[in-house]
Amino acid sequence: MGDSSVAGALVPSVPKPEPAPSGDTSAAAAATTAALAMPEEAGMRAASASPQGPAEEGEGPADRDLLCPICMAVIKDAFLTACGHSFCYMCIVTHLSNKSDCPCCGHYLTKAQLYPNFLLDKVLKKISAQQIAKTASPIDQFRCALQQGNEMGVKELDSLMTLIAEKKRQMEQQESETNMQILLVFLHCLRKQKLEELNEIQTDLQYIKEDISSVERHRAELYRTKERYSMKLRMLLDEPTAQKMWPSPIDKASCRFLPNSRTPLSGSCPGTLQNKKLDLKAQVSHQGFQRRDALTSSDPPNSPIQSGNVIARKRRVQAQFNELQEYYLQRRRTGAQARRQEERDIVAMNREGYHAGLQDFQSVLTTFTRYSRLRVIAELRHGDLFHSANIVSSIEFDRDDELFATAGVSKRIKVFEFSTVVNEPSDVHCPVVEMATRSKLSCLSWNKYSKNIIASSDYEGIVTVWDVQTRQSVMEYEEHEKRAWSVDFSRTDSSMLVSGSDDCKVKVWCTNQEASVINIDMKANICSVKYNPGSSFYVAVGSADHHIHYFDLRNPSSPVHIFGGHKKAVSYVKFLSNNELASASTDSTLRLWDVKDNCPVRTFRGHKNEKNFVGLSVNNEYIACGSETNEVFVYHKAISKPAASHRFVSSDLDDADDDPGSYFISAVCWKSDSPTMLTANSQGTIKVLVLAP
Amino acid sequence: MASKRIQKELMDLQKDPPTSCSAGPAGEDLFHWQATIMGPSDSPYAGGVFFINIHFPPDYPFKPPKVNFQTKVYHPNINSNGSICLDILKEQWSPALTISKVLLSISSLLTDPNPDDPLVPEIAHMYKNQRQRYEETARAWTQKYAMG
Repeated sequence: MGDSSVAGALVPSVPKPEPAPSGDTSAAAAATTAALAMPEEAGMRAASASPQGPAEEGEGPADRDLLCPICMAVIKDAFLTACGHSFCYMCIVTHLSNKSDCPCCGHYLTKAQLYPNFLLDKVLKKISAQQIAKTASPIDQFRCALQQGNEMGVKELDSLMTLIAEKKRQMEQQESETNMQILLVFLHCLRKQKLEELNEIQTDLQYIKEDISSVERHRAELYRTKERYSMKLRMLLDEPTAQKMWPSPIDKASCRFLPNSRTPLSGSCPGTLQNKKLDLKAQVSHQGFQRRDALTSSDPPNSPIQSGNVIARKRRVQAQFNELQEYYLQRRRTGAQARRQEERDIVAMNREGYHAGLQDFQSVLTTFTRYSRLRVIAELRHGDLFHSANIVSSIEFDRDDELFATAGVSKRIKVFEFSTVVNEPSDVHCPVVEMATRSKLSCLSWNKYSKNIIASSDYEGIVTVWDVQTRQSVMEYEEHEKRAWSVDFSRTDSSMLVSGSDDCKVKVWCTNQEASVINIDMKANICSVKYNPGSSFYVAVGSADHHIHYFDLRNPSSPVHIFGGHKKAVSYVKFLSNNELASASTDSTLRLWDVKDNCPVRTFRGHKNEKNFVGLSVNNEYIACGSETNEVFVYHKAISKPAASHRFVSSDLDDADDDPGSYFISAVCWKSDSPTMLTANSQGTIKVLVLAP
Repeated sequence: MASKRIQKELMDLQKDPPTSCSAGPAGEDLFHWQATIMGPSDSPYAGGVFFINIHFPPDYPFKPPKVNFQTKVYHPNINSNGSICLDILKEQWSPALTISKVLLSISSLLTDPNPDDPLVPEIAHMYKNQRQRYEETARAWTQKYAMG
């Protein structure tokens, strides 16, 4: 209806204005309009033909005829020239202020010869309106119709308004539904996420609940065992006292004791236990005050010590609670997965009363809370006054932990007896063996089978095998072209050793021959090499390319795996076990790797190491390393933060010239299966440290 | 006024491009265009591509645009600076003319020089008296400067 109204509004308006001014009939007016239009069109054609030529006349003649030749827009305020051409008034006036000619034909022209063309103006406006009507959107047409005041009844308006209101309501409802849908999607996602978190927490709580029950059962069993032991002890104490107290009624007493002493040994019958209690009470009342004092005094001496110890360990737990929590949950979740895979584990769990994950965590917790500091039990100070720098690059226990050897920039290998160093109070200890070397030494490695054999690597790239007993070199390998940083004897094949060098080569040697057995060319300097303790085929190589390359020497052309993660050179690699590898780097971190599953396990931070070899040593549970703060740090392998540390203090007057802050720990070595270790720093000071509560 | 007119011309050129010619803004400035004219096939300039600079005055179209050849051309009415001796670019300019028509006129000038109103009298003289030599030289210049 709106469209028809608009069309209706346009059609009647055309004839109405004409009759009033002319006074003629409508038919005559229409004829007049047509007659006037025709000459104008002919004139326009003539005007366009002149400048454009006949070829262009066919190109959209209607559009071009409506355009001003000067501004190329629809003519505005049409003016006619004496020569019959039409222009916008402003365009032709501006032109005539420059030149007195017609832009189209060049004929002489002045402003006095311009005439307004009102009819052309009207025609142009109508045509513009028609074009607008064709191209305008329905909304624009509707708006135009309303503004022009077309004949539209109130009922029609009401009808249109009803339609518009309905349309508005529909659109609003649609938008509202869309918003609701978006909100619903968000809430569903949120709920799903929270449910997952809840399930995870509930699972963890279930683990914790199970573990609490297990531990409580275990504790109850321990308590019962303790009770039985206490009763037995009291029985032993009771018998001689009774004899002494009452010698005259001995017959009666012995008659009573004999049957009682037999039945409690079984310890399983509750009736017997009750009888035992009654007897005890009677005896106590008979024997008076002395017995009570003895019983009372047995408790006080122990409880303060135990509670103090427990408090200290609890404090340690609190200090590292987050790390312990993370490790506990990790072990339990891993254990749970393993449990689902194998039914046998369930049987194992039932037998032990513990879940495997909990058992592992208990072991870690016990070990971790046992120690909190490092105590010095012995100290050596080198007497080499002539050397300003006396860095100990390497310090290593022999096969039996009886001897340890040191080496470094002093160009000497010194072998000490460990027991002598620890037991004798002397400040200056003499080595039992001392061997001079041609170059500064970087690393030592004892043979794992022959007690007197030790290998060294030096700054000239020479790997030397020494006999400590004869103090002579047994073999010298000279293939490395640059400094050799690391050397290691194999544990399983005592005739094999491996070395790494700045010449980017890893070489495997045999003590029976002079040439290298295997040569591995790598692309970066080698800082450290280490045999797997369980195999003479597997070697870990720490490199300046930030990676650890793990080789099977039976196929040395490429590593079995490359462990990446360090951000700087890998200065040390050591095996905690056949599957656990620790590495140190000048990125101030240690990392633990699983060489069976080829994955990283943990990263340790707390010490500072940016440029020096500061030492790395591992045993089953702990990893020790030096720091450029002149401190030794000890990490538990399951906790990322240090468990203990010890700072070397340099107070010698001789060292006053040096900058104290520049000292660093240069070597560390654990004693096997022990909390004791050797440490040395860049001054040449050697300390024996032990983990302490 | 001027920028509206120039934009309309640009739209017309893009909608209905003339043969053998092209034109458009050289960069961001709407008042600075670059055009190309293909050498007419019936002239010694055949096969050449001639680059032309166009600068519109602020009061365009009431004043003519400044048009210059960038490419060297051997022609009686075009000098070594690239100036063009063409009446519609000077006193015969009309606001009803467009760039499209100007380019067509220049192309026509390449085909039919006007030696009676020369800009380079030596070339005009040769055009009149030694037509063949003129054509050879014009062709050589085209080969040297207007190709590749």
